[in-house]
Amino acid sequence: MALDENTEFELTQYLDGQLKGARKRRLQRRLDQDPLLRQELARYGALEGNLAELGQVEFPDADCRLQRERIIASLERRSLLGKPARRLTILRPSFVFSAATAAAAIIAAVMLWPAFTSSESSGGAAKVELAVNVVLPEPPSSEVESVIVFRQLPQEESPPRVEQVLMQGESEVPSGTIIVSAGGTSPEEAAPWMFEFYEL
Amino acid sequence: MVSGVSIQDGEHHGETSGDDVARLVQQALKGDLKAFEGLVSLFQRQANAVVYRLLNNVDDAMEVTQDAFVKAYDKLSTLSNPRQFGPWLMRIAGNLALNRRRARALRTTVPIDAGDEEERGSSIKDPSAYSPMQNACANEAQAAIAAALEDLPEIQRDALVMFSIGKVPQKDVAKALGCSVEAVKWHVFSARKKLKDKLAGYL
Repeated sequence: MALDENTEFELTQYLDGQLKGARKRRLQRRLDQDPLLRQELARYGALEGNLAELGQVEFPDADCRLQRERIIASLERRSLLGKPARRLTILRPSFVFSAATAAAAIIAAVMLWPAFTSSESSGGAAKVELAVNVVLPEPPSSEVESVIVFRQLPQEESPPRVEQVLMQGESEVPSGTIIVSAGGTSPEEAAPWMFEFYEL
Repeated sequence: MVSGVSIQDGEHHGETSGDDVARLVQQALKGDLKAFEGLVSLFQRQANAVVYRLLNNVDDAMEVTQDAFVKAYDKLSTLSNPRQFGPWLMRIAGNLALNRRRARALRTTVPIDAGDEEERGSSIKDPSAYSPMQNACANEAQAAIAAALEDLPEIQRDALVMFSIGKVPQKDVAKALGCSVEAVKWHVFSARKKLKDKLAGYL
């Protein structure tokens, strides 16, 4: 026999510790006597346990590590500057290889055209130069001076190096190019980077 | 050990008490970024999960969660009970996520050339393309629950995600969703009942 909705509601309230006084005592008496009711309570409990676990297992370690680094880098930067730096946008060059993200970029009024500029191999270490042309999504109130580059997977021993930042601030919406050198021999290998632009 | 709490390689391992959380908050208030990093480590997965459920987009979730932590750092001195950092952070993250979703909804209603329709539709990632819940669910039951969550009416899913996954107090869920506490209770119950009935074989 199915339980009525009020009883089920009370079961969930009981589970949350929100059922008090006489209502709680009445439900406890029913639970003592009714195995069906106990079974339903156990099912709600199992559901709640699974929901809680969904909050713990979702994101890969590498993404969480990267996110943590970005949060702390952002706070460190602000403490050094003594004032908040407004983040203008985050760009992931790797995204231009997917149509879905290209569409997202259009909607955000961000234009991003990474271009493979050169690769070389000297002393056994391959290097890729990746040029990323950007138009910021909104005009900053002062010059954009800095670019932070973060690595995604795979983690490499040597950090990426920003070779050139060529932002043109004269127009209403600044645009420009950044060039980074990174390990790898193709744009795809060099692509898993994330760029953050800050207005200082 | 980072700031008195067991965190190895930046990752949190094992249970952490409210006292540990309170200690990290107190140290962070003194400008100890390592302590704040400990808080990030403790709560970022939960925050990511909550925001992801509200936005259905991994990149947005990661970004909004990052913003939530930065905002939490800025407002840390307003936190009256340091032991409650987790629910407080989830409320901030939930609010930012809902704001992001509203802004996204507004943006997608702005007329764009008809030719952009297909691209606009694809701008919100298909969760299955990169679905952490599908990839990292510990078991089949969790994967089924994650999928069933997405079929719930939006208001019920929002209430359940914030309350059951985010552990946000119902009064704060009510503020975030713009409804009464009683309505939140009913939305949470309705969502649970639907999930329980739909997932009978897993529970």
